[in-house]
Amino acid sequence: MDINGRQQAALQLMEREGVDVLLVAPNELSRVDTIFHLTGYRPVGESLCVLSRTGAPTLVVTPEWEAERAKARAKGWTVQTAADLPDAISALFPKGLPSGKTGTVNLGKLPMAISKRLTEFAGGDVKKLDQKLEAALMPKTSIEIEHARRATAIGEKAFEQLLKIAHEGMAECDLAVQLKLYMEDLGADDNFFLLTASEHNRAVQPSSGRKLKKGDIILAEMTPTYHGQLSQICRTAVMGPIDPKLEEKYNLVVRAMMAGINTIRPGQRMGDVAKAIDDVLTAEGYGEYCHPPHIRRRGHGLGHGSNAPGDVAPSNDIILQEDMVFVVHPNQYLPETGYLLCGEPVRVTATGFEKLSKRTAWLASVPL
Amino acid sequence: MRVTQPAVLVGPYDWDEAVIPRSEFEGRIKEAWAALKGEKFAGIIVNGNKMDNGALAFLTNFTPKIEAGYALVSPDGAVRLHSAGSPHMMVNAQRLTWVDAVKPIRDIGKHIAEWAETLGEGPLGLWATPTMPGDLLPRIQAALPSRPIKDVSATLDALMRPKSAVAKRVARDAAAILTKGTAALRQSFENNVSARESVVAAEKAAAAAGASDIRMLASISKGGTPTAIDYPEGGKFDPLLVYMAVRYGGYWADGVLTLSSVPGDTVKNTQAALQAMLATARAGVSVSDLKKAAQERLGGLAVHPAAKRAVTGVGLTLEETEAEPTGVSRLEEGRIYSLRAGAQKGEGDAALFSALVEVKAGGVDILWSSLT
Repeated sequence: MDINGRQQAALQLMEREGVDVLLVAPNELSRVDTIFHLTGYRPVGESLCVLSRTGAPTLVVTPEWEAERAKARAKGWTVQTAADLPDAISALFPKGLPSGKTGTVNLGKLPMAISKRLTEFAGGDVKKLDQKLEAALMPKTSIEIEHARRATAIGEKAFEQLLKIAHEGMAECDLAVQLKLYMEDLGADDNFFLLTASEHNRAVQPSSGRKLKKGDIILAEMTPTYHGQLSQICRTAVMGPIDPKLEEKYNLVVRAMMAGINTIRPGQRMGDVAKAIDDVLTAEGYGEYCHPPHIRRRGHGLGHGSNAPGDVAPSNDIILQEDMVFVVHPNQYLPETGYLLCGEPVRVTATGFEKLSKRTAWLASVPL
Repeated sequence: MRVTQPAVLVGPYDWDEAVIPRSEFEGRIKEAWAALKGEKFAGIIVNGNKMDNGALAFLTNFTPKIEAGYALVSPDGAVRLHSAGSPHMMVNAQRLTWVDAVKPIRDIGKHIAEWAETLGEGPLGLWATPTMPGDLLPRIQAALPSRPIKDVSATLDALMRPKSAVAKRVARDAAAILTKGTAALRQSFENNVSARESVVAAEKAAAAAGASDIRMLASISKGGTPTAIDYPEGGKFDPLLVYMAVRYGGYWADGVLTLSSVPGDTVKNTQAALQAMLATARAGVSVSDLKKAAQERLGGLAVHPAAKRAVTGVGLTLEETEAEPTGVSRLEEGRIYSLRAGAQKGEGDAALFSALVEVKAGGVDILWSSLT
């Protein structure tokens, strides 16, 4: 699929649903999957895609000065800039939207005042297609897959950099900021980056001012975007020498992860990927740690946000299709070691899977 | 200016009593209740998210690094704080605020309803960010069928506009970081590197100077309007227009500048326009008078679309909400504003300059300026 194919998929959805006009808002301003996936443009302000079964697709963006980039990115779209989004949409439909034949996506995610005005304009008989549009746009385009590979390579280089620059007395967030900027240098344009450290972690969290100490276990969930496409690697490093018992447990978590990854192929149920991971850990006596509050999911989709094909979780009934991209990360709490992070991004291929990372997670050591 | 929002906030946001003491927050909570005293509210719900968290930061220093947060403020000044994230993630969330026992959000409607049970009679006030999603309030209200919720944002936003002595000090510290960032930007431009490399150099300098957050927009063509840097490849543009915002202690400092190896009339006239605005600015001056002063120096050039809003209040948010929907109408003493001038002549020939000022009775203190 390419980006035009994605637009076609949205139009086909409209036809199936009997919708003539579809208003598509972003998921939120920092997770703009819908607009980015449809147009290639990442909004700065509130924006809306207007798809019509009979007319040209229109992208309405705010603020007014965003015209240049919107036109450069949203190829094939008529780009209109506006000072006021609801006013601009009203002006596009002076006779109102077609009654009973209008669909909406994510209008409720827009800021309160704008959402209220647009919802009133759309009327009470609209079809909300939030979930259905996301499902229709699930597979990645070939360009996005290449971008996911590039983003993965950036994440892997950043972990190597972490091992070089982390030192005792350095604040977690200073390390995180330096690595984020390093990834920017390598071409990343955003980053869902969590990095924390403790002698016994309970979770990976946004970084704090806590200072690194010898014996800390650093958890790093590196999620750079390249041209808007996210990828993620999850890694663990010890400040100083590695305790053999910790390494043994870490290798168990990696083995569980690979058991999950090795089940990936088209036609496989996503929930069964998670089950394969749980089976390995349960066999080693950690069954009670395979459920909340210790773990909720074993990975998630990778778009411009963590969405389709959804969570790597036992309850996810989605059937894997070729070119779906997601991360598998057991990210397991074990009572002896605390929370351990390992995770690899994968693409579903015609016959199995492609692991996007070059090197599989290993328990690394920061030399002191 | 509007900026792209990162997926997660990475920088140093922990509460530091040496930067903003607890007594400052306690005083602000008293101010908030005093502002609402005529209406007998039982409690105040304060909403914020990683994009927009001025009100939350004003009362609690809490800035959600992921998703959203809520402060539930009782009339006696007690505060409950709920943050996005699992229970185990509250360790680092706790470091962001002086409020004890930060709790995770499971069902915010239920949390608010449980808190409301402990309160007296009367409606709840909602101090919301403008970016609060439209579908959130109906969900909260559904959990409180017999307790009205009234939006008090307009009343309480007014408290954030005039800056206390502490706020002014922190804002000046933020402006000093901006100075270091833009100095690095200028140096990189002179070194003839790409726009993207210049931006990263500025970000590195600001981070090294202690910024908790940095947002930048830059031209993607010669003289192009600053926009999101969503491309990995480098391009060299001259003139290069850049917007930079840095945050420290919750307070933002921002500015826009034009880097040009051979400044033409558009650049020179726009600089003169900003200079005229600075010479005119003082408490009580209307924005229309500032625009007029700028216009007289633009020499007939068209006003740049990104400078149509010539004045914005800057503080815990990059664009403070104003009493009037059209924005700032008149400069007020004790506030901090970004004054912006911009012009364009044709494709590739545009300029934007700004200054960050603290307004005083007889003029302004310049905290940062792209003219220097």
